[in-house]
Amino acid sequence: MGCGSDSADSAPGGGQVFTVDAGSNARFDVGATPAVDAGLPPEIEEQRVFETPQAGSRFVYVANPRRDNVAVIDSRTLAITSVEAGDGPTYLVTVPERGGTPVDEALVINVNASTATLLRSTTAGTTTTQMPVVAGANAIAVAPNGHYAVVYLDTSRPNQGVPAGSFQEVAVLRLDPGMERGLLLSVGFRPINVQFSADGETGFVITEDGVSILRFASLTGPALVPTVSFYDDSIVAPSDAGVADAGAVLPRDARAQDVSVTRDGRFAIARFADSPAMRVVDLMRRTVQTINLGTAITDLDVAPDGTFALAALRGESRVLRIPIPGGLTDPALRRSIDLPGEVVGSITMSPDGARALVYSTAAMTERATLLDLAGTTPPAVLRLRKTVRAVAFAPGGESALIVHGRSEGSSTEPGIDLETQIDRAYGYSLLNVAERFTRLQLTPAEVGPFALVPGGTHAFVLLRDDSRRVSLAQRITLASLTIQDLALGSPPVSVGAVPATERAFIGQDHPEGRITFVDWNTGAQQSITGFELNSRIVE
Amino acid sequence: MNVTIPSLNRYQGVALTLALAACADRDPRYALSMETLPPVAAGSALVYVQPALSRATVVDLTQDTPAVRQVAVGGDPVLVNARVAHDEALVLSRGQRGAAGVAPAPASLTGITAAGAARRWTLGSPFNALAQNGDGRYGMAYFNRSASAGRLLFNPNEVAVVDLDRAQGPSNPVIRTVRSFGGVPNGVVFSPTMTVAGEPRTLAVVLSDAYVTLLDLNHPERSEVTVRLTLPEDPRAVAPAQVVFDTDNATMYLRADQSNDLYVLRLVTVTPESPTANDFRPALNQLAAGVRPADLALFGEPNARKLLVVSPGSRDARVIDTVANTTTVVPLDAVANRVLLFNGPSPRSPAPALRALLYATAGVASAVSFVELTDIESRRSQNVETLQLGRVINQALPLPERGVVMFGHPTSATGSLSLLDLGRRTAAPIFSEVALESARFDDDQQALWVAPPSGERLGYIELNNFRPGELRLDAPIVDVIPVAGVAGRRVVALHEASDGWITVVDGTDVTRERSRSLRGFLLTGLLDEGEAR
Repeated sequence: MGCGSDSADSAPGGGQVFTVDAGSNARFDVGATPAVDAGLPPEIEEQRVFETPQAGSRFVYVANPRRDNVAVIDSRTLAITSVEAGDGPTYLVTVPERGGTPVDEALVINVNASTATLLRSTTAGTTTTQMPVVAGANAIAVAPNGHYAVVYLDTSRPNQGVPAGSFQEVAVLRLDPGMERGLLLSVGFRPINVQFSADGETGFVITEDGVSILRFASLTGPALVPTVSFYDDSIVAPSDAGVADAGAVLPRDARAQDVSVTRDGRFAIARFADSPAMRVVDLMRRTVQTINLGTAITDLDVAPDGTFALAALRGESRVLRIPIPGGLTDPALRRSIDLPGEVVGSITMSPDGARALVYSTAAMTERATLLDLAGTTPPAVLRLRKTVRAVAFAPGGESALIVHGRSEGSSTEPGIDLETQIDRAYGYSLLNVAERFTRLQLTPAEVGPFALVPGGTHAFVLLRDDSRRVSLAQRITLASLTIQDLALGSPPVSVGAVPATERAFIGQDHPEGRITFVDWNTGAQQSITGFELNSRIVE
Repeated sequence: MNVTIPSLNRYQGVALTLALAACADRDPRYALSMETLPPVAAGSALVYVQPALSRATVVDLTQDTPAVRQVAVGGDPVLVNARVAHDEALVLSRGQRGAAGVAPAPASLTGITAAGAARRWTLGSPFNALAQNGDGRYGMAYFNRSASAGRLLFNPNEVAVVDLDRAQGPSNPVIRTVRSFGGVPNGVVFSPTMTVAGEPRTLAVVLSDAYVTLLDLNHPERSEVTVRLTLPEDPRAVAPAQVVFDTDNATMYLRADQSNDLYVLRLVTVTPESPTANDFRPALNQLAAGVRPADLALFGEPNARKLLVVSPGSRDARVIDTVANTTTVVPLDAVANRVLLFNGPSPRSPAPALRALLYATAGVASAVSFVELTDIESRRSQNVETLQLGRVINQALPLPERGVVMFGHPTSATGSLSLLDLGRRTAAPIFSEVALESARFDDDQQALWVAPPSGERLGYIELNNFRPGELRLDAPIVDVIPVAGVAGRRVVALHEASDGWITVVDGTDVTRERSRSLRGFLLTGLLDEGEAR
């Protein structure tokens, strides 16, 4: 996973959303599969979805493309205001904070107008500002500190149809009050991700061509953004001491995966499907270096503080810790964490970089290994009783949620034994890291979106099975790993946290829109339905 | 039985009418219909309205010898209603369009007391429906779509709000046209007095197909608020059918046909943007309520209000926490489409408590369900007791204050009625020749009175011991009307007669000797009027 410094995504409004990290999303099957990996498919990565309610500090925003408006819901009073956006407001994110202060702002892409609307809410109302964006845009990345956002077309995500024109354009939006403006810039081909430096003053557009660097302060007009390629060393001549290919053979059309930019914006690091090669781009010097780790890298993560990277070497059942920058050039500094007998396919690091869980989504193993990256505690193998589909750490790293896979067949089939029942059931496990304690929770439906509240005291998991009329949320108290079922009036689709009111919101599938707010301290619920009808009340 | 024919000591009513009708070149008034609107009780009086004569006849039953008075009402009266919580009748008249030699007259509303005093409010437009609020303070005249306006042009969304405590004046009534999304009002519901934006007030809720309109009757100068119940592309004919008010929380719950959701309108205080803007705004919410919710009732403390909803489509009851909007499904053995809350004991607990009876009318169930509301959300079906009646229920006539409900069944060997004792949870079959729709509880709810169609016998059941009785009268009975405000209990049996015929029965001593028949009162003064002319 190429989450790098944003391994625990900031939920809108300061809440933390559990990061789903299940390794890489291999797109190509080039080169030979190592013998140790024979038969194992690539690791699978899950993606977040758009078009779901997003929370600011106090207000929740729901885009309604059919009505060209955004419902703004006050999580304290549950009052709903319908605010006119542009034509077809669809993809919406919230701005968590600006300069360290939580704000209630949302940015929504109007897909039919190639504009974005910035909404600012207070108890007195919501104001809007329109800015131009690229045609077909469907992705928004907001920089830390909330001064800038980058809007682009991510062709790997659902979109309204690929527009005519270029796939090499992004819009940089200035979000500061009174200074709002949008600037269209040319970048590398097919942007797939945008990352930022810790100070939010530099953006890195990950494209198929390489990394396009946006130094926001210097962007005053339309410009060609410098792009550093991962692929063609002849364009950017290596000027450092690195080895151009390090003996690793990469096809010309191999595409970088799990691209991470270090927190200081100095390096971008990537791996390639079924390849032992790791490429490091020095974004300051604009040089490229290839490192051959000897066996295929199935996952590559950079620590949140950018001081090291972890590479999963499934074929050798080990994790390689690579200090940055020293380990990039000096193999002697790299430390191997050997996990014999374990399938080391994917790595998920805790947001503080102190721990990691190592597991495989490809192998049918019912184990994960907990690594202590900050101390000297030896790796601990966790017996999970079910296979692993995804792993998410709480922001503080003291707990984790492990989503399980299941085997075919009905878990309620008469005559099957308990082990088979468990294997066939949906479920997840909660991990208390300090105690190495896991609790398996079987669920009546597939584990859907989940979120953690700020402070990490509680988590919410959504369960939905329309055919069996399962519409459920589970409120998890992480200190005790206890779980409370919350029955919902309609199928849940999204969940998030509203910090100012200490409520989680659960967006639901309802023709007129439905959200349930849950006091995360008490579990008390309040639901509102009918955003559209509310917006059509006439006086 | 005593028989009185007031003002007819010179005439025999029917014979006179026939004789007059036979005269050539007679005054056209002689051909006017003697038909009346269904009479209503106004306190101790019975009020008949004769549309052709534009007059009301008030039969005051205060004394042993009834007094009969005539009161002029507006032209073309179309309905007469008893004023809620008042000893007064309200007559809605559509006025006259005007014709050759006939001056047009505006529509009006006339209030008539038992003593025959009349007040009149000019409404302007020929409305054909009238609704009142719970304390009889306000009336709203509107156009019911089922009736013709009888005018070349009319606006079906025009309404007139009348403050019945005030005389006609510049601001009373208030005539206005409610906003329309293509529909017309199907009905009007008034809120009880409830505090909205810090001020006690009464709201009128105009029910139209797929939307409702709120009018603040305390501030008639303010604009109405229209709340749509469906989106424009939604083809459902969502027709508001029931409104329940939570006065403690300035909230109303609305059930609509063709919708599985209940609509919640919470009136949130806002700062008005202009003098004619409202200081509240509804915040709409929808609550899933099973399949085809048919009835609902509100219970619980103000800060923990709950809704009990029966949904025959999903054969369950649902308890909805209106604060959390969470729903608890309570499966039922017997399908139900009516909710009756009552405060009373149960066979296991003599202490009165709020309980519910769930039952179904229209012949879809032969059992009823008693629901203990305490801890219903945790105990669910453990709190439900099913009682088999053995016969399907066609109709129900609840009297929770007396702890009974009378059910009507298809006629069978086991009787066509049964009386359900809510406390004991027993059902006593009652053999009856009558349908329940003609049954009436008397004013102090001591007895139930029934009259067989076209029969001469008036039946009754004493509700304290379920003892039935009957009284033969002199003519077939067409309806029974209990009358309030008089010493003792009186019940008036109406007989078919164009000149007016009633029998007043003493409810405390149901004998022919104590009954008094009164006939011909509709002709009172009729010929005098003709002679004067």
